[in-house]
Amino acid sequence: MSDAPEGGVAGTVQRPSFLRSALVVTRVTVVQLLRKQRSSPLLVSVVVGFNCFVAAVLVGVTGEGAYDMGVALAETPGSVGERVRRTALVGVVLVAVMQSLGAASDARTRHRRLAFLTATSTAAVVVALLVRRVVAALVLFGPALVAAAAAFAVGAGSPASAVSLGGGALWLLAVSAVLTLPFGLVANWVVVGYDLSSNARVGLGVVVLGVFYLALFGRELVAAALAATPVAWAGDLLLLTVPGTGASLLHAGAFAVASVAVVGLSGLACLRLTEMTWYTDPVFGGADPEADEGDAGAGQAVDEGEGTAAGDTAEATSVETFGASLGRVCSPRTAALVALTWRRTRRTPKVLFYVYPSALVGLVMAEQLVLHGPFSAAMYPAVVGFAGATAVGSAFTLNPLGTEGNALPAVLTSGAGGGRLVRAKALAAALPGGPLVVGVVLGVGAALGALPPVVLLATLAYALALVTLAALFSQALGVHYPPDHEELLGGSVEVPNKSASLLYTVGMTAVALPGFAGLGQYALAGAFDPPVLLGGVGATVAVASALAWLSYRHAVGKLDGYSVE
Amino acid sequence: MAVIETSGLTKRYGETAAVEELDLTVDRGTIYGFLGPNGAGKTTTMRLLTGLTRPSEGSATVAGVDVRERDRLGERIGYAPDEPPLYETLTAREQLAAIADVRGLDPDEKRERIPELLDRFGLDAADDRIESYSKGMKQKTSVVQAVLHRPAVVFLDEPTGGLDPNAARTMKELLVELRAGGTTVFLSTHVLPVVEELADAVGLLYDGQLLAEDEPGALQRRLAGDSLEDAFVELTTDGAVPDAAGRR
Repeated sequence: MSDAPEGGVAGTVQRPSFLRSALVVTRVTVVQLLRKQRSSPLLVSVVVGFNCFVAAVLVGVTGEGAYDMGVALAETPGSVGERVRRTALVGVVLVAVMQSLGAASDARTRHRRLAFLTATSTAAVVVALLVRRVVAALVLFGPALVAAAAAFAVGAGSPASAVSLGGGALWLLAVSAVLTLPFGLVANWVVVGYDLSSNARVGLGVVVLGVFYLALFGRELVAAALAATPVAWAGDLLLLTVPGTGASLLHAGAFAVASVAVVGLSGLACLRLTEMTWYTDPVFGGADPEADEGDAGAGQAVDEGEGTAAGDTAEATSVETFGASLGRVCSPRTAALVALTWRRTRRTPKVLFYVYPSALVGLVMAEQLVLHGPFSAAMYPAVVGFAGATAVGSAFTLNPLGTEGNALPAVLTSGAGGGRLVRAKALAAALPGGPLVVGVVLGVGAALGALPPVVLLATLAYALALVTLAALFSQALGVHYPPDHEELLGGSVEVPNKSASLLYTVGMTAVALPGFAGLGQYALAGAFDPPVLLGGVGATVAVASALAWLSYRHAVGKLDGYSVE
Repeated sequence: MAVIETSGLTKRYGETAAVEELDLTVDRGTIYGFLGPNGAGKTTTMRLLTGLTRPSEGSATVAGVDVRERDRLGERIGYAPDEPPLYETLTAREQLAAIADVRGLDPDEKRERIPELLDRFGLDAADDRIESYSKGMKQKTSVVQAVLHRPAVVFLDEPTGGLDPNAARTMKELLVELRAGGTTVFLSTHVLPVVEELADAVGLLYDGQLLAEDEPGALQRRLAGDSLEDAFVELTTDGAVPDAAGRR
């Protein structure tokens, strides 16, 4: 018989120490993270591929890198030291900006691990959250950083160099992961505490990505701005065991101590912020499951609740009017599906976030190929055509079934049929996207002035063919990923699967390449060669049209044969 | 006249049979109570009969349509699964209108039916977003969506779950009314008194197999129990199963 008091066993329970609790929660959290990564061969290959890519860039496989810097160390140690310091500063800034974006996602209230919070202290859960972020960062960047340090050491013929370079880089990575979590918690505190919609979080993500882009291309300015601050002592930490670079032990030590202190402060800030965020009423959801029917309507869910009944009614009217007009040119049932998709997208526009990477790619292409590259401004319309078309297929069409969420059974048993669903999704993306892309291509072409009509017409045909392909090709890939919940941005929306996005981007690029080359020849030479221009664009249009048709058939076949398991 | 007929209907997931050799006949214009313990295969059977899941073996027709022809089948059935199939960012009124449009419901009928059914279920918050609804409100919206187009067969998975007593009564009245109108109701629930009160026939699924099938009263008498609950417990208790199957 137990000695427990009647009515409970509270008297027999020994509350574990904080350290023990933190250890247990951390272990479970980290194991979950690693198991999730390991269980997906695709995720493993993405992580390995990413590490290989970063390692190749850092080591210097594709250009000058750590190995070359190591080789140069014997001749110009001072110069190499300076370059390492500059690289470190830029790297710290870029990684911190990227980590901030991840932190805003990681710090969502659903990560508060309610089960643990009811069993142990908040501090233990915060420790686990911090360690989880560090482990995630180390998995994603760690091997590449170690490879770069090793390459430097090999180039320099100084194995000891790898110690401070590798260890220091990993420490900077870990510190940036810890330091950025308060940012994520603040972002979520603002979003939840002020009852903002999730779109505010997406907006924040867009801003952070914009900052990342600016930092990437203004890296020299960033390095110069930070050179006179104590942040530059990070370079001393990295160079501590690299001979001849004049690394200051005092500065390196000060940086290490300061970063430990900052990590501690960051932990305390996280604890305070989690207490402010995790235990507020809104995080437990707007609708009380026990609420009376009369009251439940008043409790709009916080996460997406940006709309009001009046706003919804006005919006419904506009969507219905548009849908009714559409019903005159296609079947009313297809028009209904298009209008339904538009209405849902308007209320959950964060699904359109996936358009942003394509726009970013367009900006990078413009910057690399034209602004600082060999092509003339005549290349801009082609860049707009490619990036715009890719953007059209980047959102809900990349997971046409997954984005239906809980409503999927209702759609599948509605008798609508796979063909109607695919056409509706394609129209929902292409009807606003197509004219927009064409308009911008024309606008940019007009702004350039002297673009020959043949080139402009070829660019339009190129853009239109790619838009058509994007709306259907994305679905052909997306139907293979219907049940996936990819939650890069959080919230309830189910967004394109990463692997679908990757295949989609590769496919679109391959099809676009001949036309891009044809248009590029004109932008390079300033005069067009008809066989090159028309041959290139013609090839893209022909392949895009054929692939669009095959994509349509494939997507319809998959939808019709889809079995909810 | 049978409206649901299955023959050797089987669904396997690898080596495991979720539904095995199911032979089922349900008459038109009846309420069929589909019972079974958790994990018996009820939801899988419903998914098979609504075309959402493809059978591994066997055949099934619902309202004269092979369940493999999902598009044609969709025109004849309504389905309210246990997880309400709703778009959270729409209002109930918009959700119902959208699905009615996708189904190609006559606009006049749509305008008439939606307010009528919303009113009947007391869905006062029909112009609020579904994400703000309680479980019961979502359940009501889901059932309204399933019957909106007057299907020949309606499949309801735990339709009274999460409903308050008033709404549960409205639901029962609706089921009786549907039956009177010639609609067949295929009802899966754990609330046995509802089946006892309403069902014309009961099928008991256990481990993917149909263990017993009869009228509720007859089944109760056959097993010498005081209620359908007694019969359910007797049939699904380990050790009693082979005996019960033998009596079928």
